[in-house]
Amino acid sequence: MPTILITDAHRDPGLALATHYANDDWEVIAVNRAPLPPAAFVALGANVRELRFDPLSEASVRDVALRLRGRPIDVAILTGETAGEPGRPAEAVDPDHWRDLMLVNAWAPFRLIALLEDNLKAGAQKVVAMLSDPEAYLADYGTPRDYAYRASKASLHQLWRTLDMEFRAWGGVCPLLAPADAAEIAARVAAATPDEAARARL
Amino acid sequence: MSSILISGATRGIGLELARQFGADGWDVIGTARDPGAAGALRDTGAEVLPLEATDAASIAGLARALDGRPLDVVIANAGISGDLTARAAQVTREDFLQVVGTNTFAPLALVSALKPNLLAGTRRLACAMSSLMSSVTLNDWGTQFSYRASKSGLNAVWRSLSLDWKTNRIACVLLRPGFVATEMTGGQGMPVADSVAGLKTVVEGLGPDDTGRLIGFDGKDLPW
Repeated sequence: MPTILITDAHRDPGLALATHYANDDWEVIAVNRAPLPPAAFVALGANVRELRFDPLSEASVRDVALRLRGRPIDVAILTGETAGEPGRPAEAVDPDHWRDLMLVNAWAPFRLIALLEDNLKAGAQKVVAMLSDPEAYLADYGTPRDYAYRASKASLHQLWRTLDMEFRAWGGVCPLLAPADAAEIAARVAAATPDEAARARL
Repeated sequence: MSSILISGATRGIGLELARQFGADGWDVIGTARDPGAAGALRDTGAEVLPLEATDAASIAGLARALDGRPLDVVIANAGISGDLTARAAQVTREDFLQVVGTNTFAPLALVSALKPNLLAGTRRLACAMSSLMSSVTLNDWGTQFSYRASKSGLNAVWRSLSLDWKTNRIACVLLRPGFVATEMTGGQGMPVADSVAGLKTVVEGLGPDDTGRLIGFDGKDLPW
């Protein structure tokens, strides 16, 4: 039975992905900021294992990696993010809010995957997909502001691209995927290739 | 006389920018973390003001020192490289936060604090020093996680700022100095004077329609 790790599986789109893969007989490791809703936990059945995760905490990231030591992971899909403050002007950007968005949206997913490299190496499919936001694609910018959110997403894209360069030495593929329904995302993950991951555009 | 403020002007590209703009008759203000150790900058004829780029109080102090003084151009040049050789698992949270704080957040904080000065100037150019490493599209060899992420984030910030400040007719432009022989590159690369001569030509030719661009020292745009 293949294994998939999904972050923020307590809510959509992570929950929809967890449901999709559990129904398809995958073992699901749900790495969540908040508990799965009870009904969802029951519906996902015995194939789900839930781990709590605080993306602002280095200790929490390390704890997840420690708990999963030695366990092969075939696919990881990272969905977690924190929204920005679209209306805040440049002169009023708050450094603490900026730091938290950088940690949650860019650093935490990167750090988690970096610490799980051995698990992913031991997996069969070796796909590390990041769900992200078309707003991070700079050429498409049409509206101003939301500085911290956009910076965090642009940084994330670059980290993921750089991760893809490093992981391909052992066959890892790190695509960035635009939001879609769970079946579509699963299809893209199943078809993920180094060439696809090499395309910077979502 | 046109005026320009350059952050991180005590060495490398920042110092050469001060030298070349000053030699061409510009009124140059260069910032230094330690003005007492900014002899080379002072020798260019530049006015030296203190600035710790990541410190909000220091930025506020600079803005107070320049209160009411028009600035035609601000170049947010101060930056750090962080650990350029770390593999993914070796990148530390401290390194990441320090690099993105200096290279991504600090330039926004600087030009935001100096917006009244830019509005009082005639050219109204807010520039930031980006890098080839900022381009996701051109990243086909990896490495330099924190540095790359910081410069990609900077691009996003400046791109957003260019839209935000369009109504103020402040052009927000990203500059790419190229691979320059500085302390950051271990002395490898093109002579800093050549890169800066190109950057100076680019900056002098900028206008409102250039806002939101990422332009190299050679005048060519880079893909995001």
